[in-house]
Amino acid sequence: MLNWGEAMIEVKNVSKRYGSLRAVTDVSFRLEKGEVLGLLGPNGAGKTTLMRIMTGYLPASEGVVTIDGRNINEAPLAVKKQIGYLPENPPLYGDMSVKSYLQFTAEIKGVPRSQRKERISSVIEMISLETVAPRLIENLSKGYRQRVGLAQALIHNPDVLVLDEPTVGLDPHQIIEIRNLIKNLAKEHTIILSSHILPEVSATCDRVVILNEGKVVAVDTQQDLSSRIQGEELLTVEFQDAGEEDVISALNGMGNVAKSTLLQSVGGSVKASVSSSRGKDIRADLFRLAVDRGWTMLELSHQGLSLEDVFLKLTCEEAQIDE
Amino acid sequence: MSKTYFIFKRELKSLFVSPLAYVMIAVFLGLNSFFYVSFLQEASMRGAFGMMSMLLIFLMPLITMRTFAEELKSGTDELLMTSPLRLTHIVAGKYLAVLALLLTIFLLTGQYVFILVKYGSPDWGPIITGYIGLILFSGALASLGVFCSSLTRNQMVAAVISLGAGLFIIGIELLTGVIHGELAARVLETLGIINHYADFDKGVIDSTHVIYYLAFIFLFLFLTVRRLDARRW
Repeated sequence: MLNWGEAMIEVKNVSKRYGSLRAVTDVSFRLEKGEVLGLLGPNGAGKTTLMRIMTGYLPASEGVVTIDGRNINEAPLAVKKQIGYLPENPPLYGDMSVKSYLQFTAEIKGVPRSQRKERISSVIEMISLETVAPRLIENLSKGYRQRVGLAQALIHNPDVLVLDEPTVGLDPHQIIEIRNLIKNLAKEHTIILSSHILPEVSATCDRVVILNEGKVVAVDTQQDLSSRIQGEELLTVEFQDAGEEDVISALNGMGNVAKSTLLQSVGGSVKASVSSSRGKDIRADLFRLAVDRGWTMLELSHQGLSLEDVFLKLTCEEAQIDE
Repeated sequence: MSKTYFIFKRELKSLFVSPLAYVMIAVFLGLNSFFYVSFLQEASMRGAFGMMSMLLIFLMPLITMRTFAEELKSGTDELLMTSPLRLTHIVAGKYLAVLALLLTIFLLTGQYVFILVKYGSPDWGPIITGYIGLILFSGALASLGVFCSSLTRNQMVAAVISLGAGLFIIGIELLTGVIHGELAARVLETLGIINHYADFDKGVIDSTHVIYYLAFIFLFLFLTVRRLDARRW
């Protein structure tokens, strides 16, 4: 499954403790050059901590991060030159204009003097910041601030981009813009981005690492993730002329039903979702149930598992194991 | 070196973009001139230096409070720490920017010297050594302020801590009332930041005092670097 060739980013057994609190526990994964990896997890799962470790902002309590074969703790200056980082809150100086801010970031990130002007204007063009370039950052909208933050991460043309929640707080139009930008950047950069929003990750990433409570719950491509927990099917069924309680108790009383929940109940028609036990097809049973009880079946449909379900399922399973 | 310069440049710009620098300069010069002229009796800068050092004790925390506290609060420290910079570049750049603001203020007090020369014949020696002493003294206070600013993300807290620490190090000699013994008295006297200033005012440059101030500055800048590094753990 994994190709053990040249890894651009390698995270090996990384843990981070704050006192007795374990923010990240034994996380490992690797990224090939040019890959886009999504770090997915609920708030507080340790995504930001992990990214801060990868960018050298925080040291790991245990484990190592290597970027292009170099350990970030052993060669911090050289490695930091290769990384562009957009923290969750874009690190902006409100009292600077966009242009002078980019000038400053180009300087401290080691863009040679002769290339600074060209890099700044090409990044401004790439991220469409032309109209706001002379304006003070404190007067910019949230969307533009986010973009200036992204521009800062790109200014030194790094091999690796680490983007912490790049689209949070943006309107739908801006989200699409940023997504397209990330897709374009993926051609030349290795990208790792975090999100707690699933469509975000499915729209942009090749692979997904799902984190929950500081641990990796799954690392896979989206297809593999869905198939991993297949076998348990989710059906939606709707009956007419039935009572809610009757329907739920009847469904739960059936063999091979793992769980049923009421979805909605409007004017005598009851809609419920039913998950079957592994590998069992209960559609025929559901039909017979309707006939026996004298209900009219209005709908019987099959729900494929979305990444969202996979996510919830994996993070819930994890919680159960912990208990 | 150039990296320190980039930090210095940004910091200085940001000091002079905010009204803080101008208000500080105006209040400092205004108060100083007022008191200086009120007590002026001879063609010397003595009174002016005494006044300036006293004003600095109270104004310095306001100049230095933002240096790190603001970065920590706004999260821009994340940009600096993940850029290919060393902490020493960052601390030195910021400290030098504060020094540059102080030098600007001192340069503007050159008007007193101008007036003295025009209407009297002052002794140049104490004026020059007085300025050297003032720069060293304010440099020491500034390093203390920068360190205090690295302790918290709240600027007001940073200012209060550095004012308190400054007043303490000035009054540290008073501890001789509590801690007895000749050695203790000498140590406390040596630690007192103001004791090292008197000679400069008299026109004497004693290397002991210069070394004291430089050591003070390096100690607190070093502690700032250590503190910022320790924050990460």
